[in-house]
Amino acid sequence: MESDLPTEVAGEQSEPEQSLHPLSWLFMTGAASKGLVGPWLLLLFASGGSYIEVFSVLFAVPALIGAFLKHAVFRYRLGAEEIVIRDGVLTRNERHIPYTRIQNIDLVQNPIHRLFGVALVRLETASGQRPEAVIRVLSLEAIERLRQRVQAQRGSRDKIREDEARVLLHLPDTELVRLGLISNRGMLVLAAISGLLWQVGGWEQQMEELSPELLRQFGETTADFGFGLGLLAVLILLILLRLFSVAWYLFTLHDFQLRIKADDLRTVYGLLNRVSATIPIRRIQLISCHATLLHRLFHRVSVQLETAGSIGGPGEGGEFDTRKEAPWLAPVLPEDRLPGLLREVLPEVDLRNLDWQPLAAGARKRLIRRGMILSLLGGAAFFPTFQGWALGLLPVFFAWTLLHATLFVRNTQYALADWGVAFRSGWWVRRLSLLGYAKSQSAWLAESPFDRRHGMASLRVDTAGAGKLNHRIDIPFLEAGVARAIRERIHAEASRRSFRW
Amino acid sequence: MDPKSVTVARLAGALWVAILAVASLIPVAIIALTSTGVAWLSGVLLLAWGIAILVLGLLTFLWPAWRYRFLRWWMDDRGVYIRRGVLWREDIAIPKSRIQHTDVSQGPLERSFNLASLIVHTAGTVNASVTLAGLSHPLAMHLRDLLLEGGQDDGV
Repeated sequence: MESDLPTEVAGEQSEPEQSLHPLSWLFMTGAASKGLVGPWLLLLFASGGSYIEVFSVLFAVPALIGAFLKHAVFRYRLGAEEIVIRDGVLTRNERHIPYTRIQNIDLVQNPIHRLFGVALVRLETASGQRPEAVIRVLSLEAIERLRQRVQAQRGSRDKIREDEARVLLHLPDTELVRLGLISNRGMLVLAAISGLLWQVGGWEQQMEELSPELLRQFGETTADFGFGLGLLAVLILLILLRLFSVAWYLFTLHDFQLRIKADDLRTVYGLLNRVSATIPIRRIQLISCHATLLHRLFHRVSVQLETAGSIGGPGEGGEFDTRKEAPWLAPVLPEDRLPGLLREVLPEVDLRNLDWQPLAAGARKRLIRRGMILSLLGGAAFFPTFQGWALGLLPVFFAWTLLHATLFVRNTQYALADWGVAFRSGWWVRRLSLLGYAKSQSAWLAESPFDRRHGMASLRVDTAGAGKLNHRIDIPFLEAGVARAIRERIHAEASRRSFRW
Repeated sequence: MDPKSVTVARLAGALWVAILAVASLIPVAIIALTSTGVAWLSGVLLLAWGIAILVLGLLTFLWPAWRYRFLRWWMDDRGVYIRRGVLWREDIAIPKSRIQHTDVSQGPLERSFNLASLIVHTAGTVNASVTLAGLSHPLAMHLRDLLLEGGQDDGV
């Protein structure tokens, strides 16, 4: 196809315009028809599909044609310094993405992709919630060329160091089983399965026919066996959830590898859908670890990263979904390997040598007082209706307040190092966040009226990124003077370093 | 912050209170006039409405002055600092090297008083943009220029 747009001054390395892999139409139409699989199956197998189903299939035809056209007009060119993507059937759209702005390149390969040696490519820049471009699909060879371009442009423009990629972490299936036991992912899997059953159909009617019968039977049996059976059912459900969880991780994170090559981290994982994400190390904004009670039982932690490029994370297997989670550095990791791994990724970060500082001396007292007052208020509010209960629960709340305040204060600590700030908090789920000064944006103190009464302040540090991690640098209950000093230190250190995405 | 900004904030507030008063008067008046049974109740209702509007009016008069009193900002070669808040206080430090871009914006009221807001954008998430309102327009432009210079080494 002839380009009617002014061609750029062709750099020595500029490549001619390319279209997608010849088989792309297959995947594009495939993606477009994904939502229609259910109705189609219904139409095929269910006797005499209703009009709605026939219509939905009819409506699908233009969608499929549209997808095919999209494939036909899609063009990209690897220029000297940018990739130029032209697409759009009616509204023509030309997008220039400089290589230097590309945060990560993610690949997704499902089994069919792999069969043909192609992959879906997501290019992410620091802008917003969606990938800058989704290219469906390119041959692996074409992707490698793209990758090399991006790498060559990045940072020092000298020759790409041809270091062999080093594997920093490899998760065997035993680890994944552990992760499955730790996590609550099973809940999501269960929801997905029931949703699927619903969609595939038949289920709905069967349920309707069955459910009164089922309910009646269930009512009878529970009446007979009573409490014990209920407990058993809950137990079975819990076990089932864990099993789902284990299965989920065995599938999605199978053969998880974290590799480091020159200045890039690369994660590869998945049994059916093979995902590979590249994260330039210097684009890591924040590192966050968390350990639930179960994690601690197994002596494990999970480590996530926040990059300014928002999306590329552990995914729900879908190719196009806007990810809800930040990318993994390590989905599960033995506790004692954490300092070592961090050192490999960010050599200046020394986790063992942190000077942990506690909160202000009055923090515990203040938490206790707040808890007491709240319990008293709650008790007073519920007294008219519940009377004895409200009174009886008060000691429980007091005890809880005491426990919470003690554990909260004990587990909330911060440390300032030469490279940045570390903050940990939480006693049920323990979280630890690490932020280099070079990645800190603005720092501010916040004082509520209560803070002022106690001469305290909170310190918060802002970072770039999508804000998908649920832990950030937000240190409460500091002495006002201390908080001010920390703010000053962070500000001074941040000002000395220039921020690079 | 320009002292005139207090006037502007009061004017804007007064406008809102006036709109609110008129809008809420209609249902209040309808209820008060239609419920003829108990005359004193409608009187109470009207009185409550009057007090609410009065308190609101007083607050819109006082609040800008308080806010003005508690706002401090300054700048040095490292960055911008803003301290503000009447009850909930905040004290922000934005390093100059983290400023992505700055806007100077003027609303219609601000324009007639020759005031402007300086908006500083960073790459952050929570404080992605910090607004410093009620500066005199020339000062806002001057600050913007100050913030722009020396930001060049920040190649992304």
